[in-house]
Amino acid sequence: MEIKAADNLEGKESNDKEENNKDSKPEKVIITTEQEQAIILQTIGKIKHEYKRHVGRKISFIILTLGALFFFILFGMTLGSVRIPLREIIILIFQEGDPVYETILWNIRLPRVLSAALAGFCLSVSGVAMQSILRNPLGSPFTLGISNAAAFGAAFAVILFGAGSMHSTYGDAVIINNPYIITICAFAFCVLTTLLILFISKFFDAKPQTMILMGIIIGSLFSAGSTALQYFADEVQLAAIVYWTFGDLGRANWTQFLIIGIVTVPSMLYFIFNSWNYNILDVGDDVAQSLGVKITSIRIIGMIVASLMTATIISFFGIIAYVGLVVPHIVRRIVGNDEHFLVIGSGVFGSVFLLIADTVARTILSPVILPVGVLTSFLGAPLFLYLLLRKKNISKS
Amino acid sequence: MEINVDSVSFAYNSTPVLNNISFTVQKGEFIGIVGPNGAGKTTILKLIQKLLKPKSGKIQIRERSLKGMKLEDIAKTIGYIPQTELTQFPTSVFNTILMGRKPHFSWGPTENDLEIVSSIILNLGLKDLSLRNINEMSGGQRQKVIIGRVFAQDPDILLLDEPTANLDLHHQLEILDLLKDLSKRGKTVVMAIHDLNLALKYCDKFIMVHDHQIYACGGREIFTQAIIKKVFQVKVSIFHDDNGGIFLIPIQNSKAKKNVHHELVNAAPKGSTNKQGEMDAVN
Repeated sequence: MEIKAADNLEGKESNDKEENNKDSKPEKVIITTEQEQAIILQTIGKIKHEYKRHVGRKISFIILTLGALFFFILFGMTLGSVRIPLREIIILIFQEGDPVYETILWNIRLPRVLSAALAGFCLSVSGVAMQSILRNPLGSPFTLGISNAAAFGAAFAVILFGAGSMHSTYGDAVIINNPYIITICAFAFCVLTTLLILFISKFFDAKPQTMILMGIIIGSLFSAGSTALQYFADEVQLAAIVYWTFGDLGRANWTQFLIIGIVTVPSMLYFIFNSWNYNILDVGDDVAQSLGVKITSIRIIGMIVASLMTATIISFFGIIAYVGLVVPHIVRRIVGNDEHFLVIGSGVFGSVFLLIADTVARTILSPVILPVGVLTSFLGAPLFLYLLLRKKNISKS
Repeated sequence: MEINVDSVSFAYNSTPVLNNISFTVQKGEFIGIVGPNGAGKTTILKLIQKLLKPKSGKIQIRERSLKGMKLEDIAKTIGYIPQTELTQFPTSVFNTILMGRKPHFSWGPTENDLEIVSSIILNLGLKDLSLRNINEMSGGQRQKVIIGRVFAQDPDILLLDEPTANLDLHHQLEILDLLKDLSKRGKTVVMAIHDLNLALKYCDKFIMVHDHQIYACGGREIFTQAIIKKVFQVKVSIFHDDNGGIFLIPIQNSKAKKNVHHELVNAAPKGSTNKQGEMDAVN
């Protein structure tokens, strides 16, 4: 019975070995009746069906999370220093309404809420990608020192280009002059760090573990640099530097949303289309290569794309910690490690996560708005600890 | 000729690993690469899979130069199972085996791929475990899943590095039976293996690697007391059974090891002399 099914799947039979086959027949031949054949086909169908149901559960999780995302986007638009009733929002979306509400919604709240969703998506997807590129559960763009590089870039811009002079207006608590110079500098240093890590790893044929260590070294080098720059700063510049490092989505506007969207959407599609390659990378380099995955180019392109996504987010909004690290691990528990569901699942879940965090940050001490980076750190650190300890327990038992 | 290795040398940095080795493998042969640890067995497999590039010499797969073959073509022709496989983020049995179909699909698996994987799972007797995470399985079951992945890849040449290491006797035989079955169906199997008795039971031909070179190559006749003594530094008795099988039973380890043993015993405190007596009795 088994042999028959095996023949079905192997298909090709070679003529050279026909004789050998005959030798083995006395012990191997099992008469397969039509009934048995039917049972085999039925069982194969059942296994396939079970897998499809298994996949279906994962897809329904993603759809459910998408629903939650939609709900929280609407919910997030109503909440804030000024409460806008849901009815008003629905009216405002389709036609003109109360001009005060309209201003708040279109100029402040909507870009912020949508940026939160997009930023959460980006950070989580690049976290997932980095984890499989580096074959390390601690992998994230932050582990590679990218956030430290961005902070250094910001400090550099503030002190050398005088980008940071601040003043208060009635509209917002603090305004930083020339914020785009800071953004460009932060972005440049992020990209520079990535290229440096890639260059070293290419040149010395470094393993993923070495890449992580390199990231830590480069990260601490940049934070030393930031400290040195801060020493020479006056108090206004110092405040600007510190203020920048708080990850704050309040800096969102439509232009930024558009730029982030342009970077994110192709990157996201890249990871979704290559999810099988990244899935196979988890199994190990030798096997991945034997299955036709070009490991070096997949790693390098993945690193560049993931870093670009993160760099865009941090250079606009500052450092939003832990999202890229915690969200993938939460989603891994729910949808498992199949990269093809993990990428989208983490992205959508990350959107919801950051959106909730930002909504809480906006409302918890209303009218004072907390930077979301503070909140994600407070949420993320204990959550990560919990995941870590729970994982240990499982492996023990 | 399936595989033709022609005067290939390889070195890690300046440490020579293989020195001018040549051999050929015919279609459908079940080859066992044997030899002591560090002799270069794994390196030979990795060279054929193009995971490593030879320093000199050339390798041909079906009269085609390996150097000119694309990664995708190699993936369709040659399957490889490493000695140890450490998955960082393990997934289900089904998904792991489905990875083997990667060379055959572009963006995602088709209905046909799922069908193939399902029938492999049934064949391996894993039908109730198909959605189990491979990390929650025993070593023997996991090895079966990994073999299943190569089945799904459906290459004509299989390279396996110690497929039976760390397995119990039952699973060792089960895995080797599966491989034997494949070779009978015309697939070429090249396997590095330490257990000489298992190799003798299953393989058609042997390549014995020693001192960065192929020390002996051929059928069972190469397993003589003299050759094994030279290559493994172990004295063995060779038995023949009625069915034409050959068995090796080690009698005594090399002189060098015995000296170490004596040195240790001599260096031991006097109180332990009794134990030495017991050990001698056992010996």
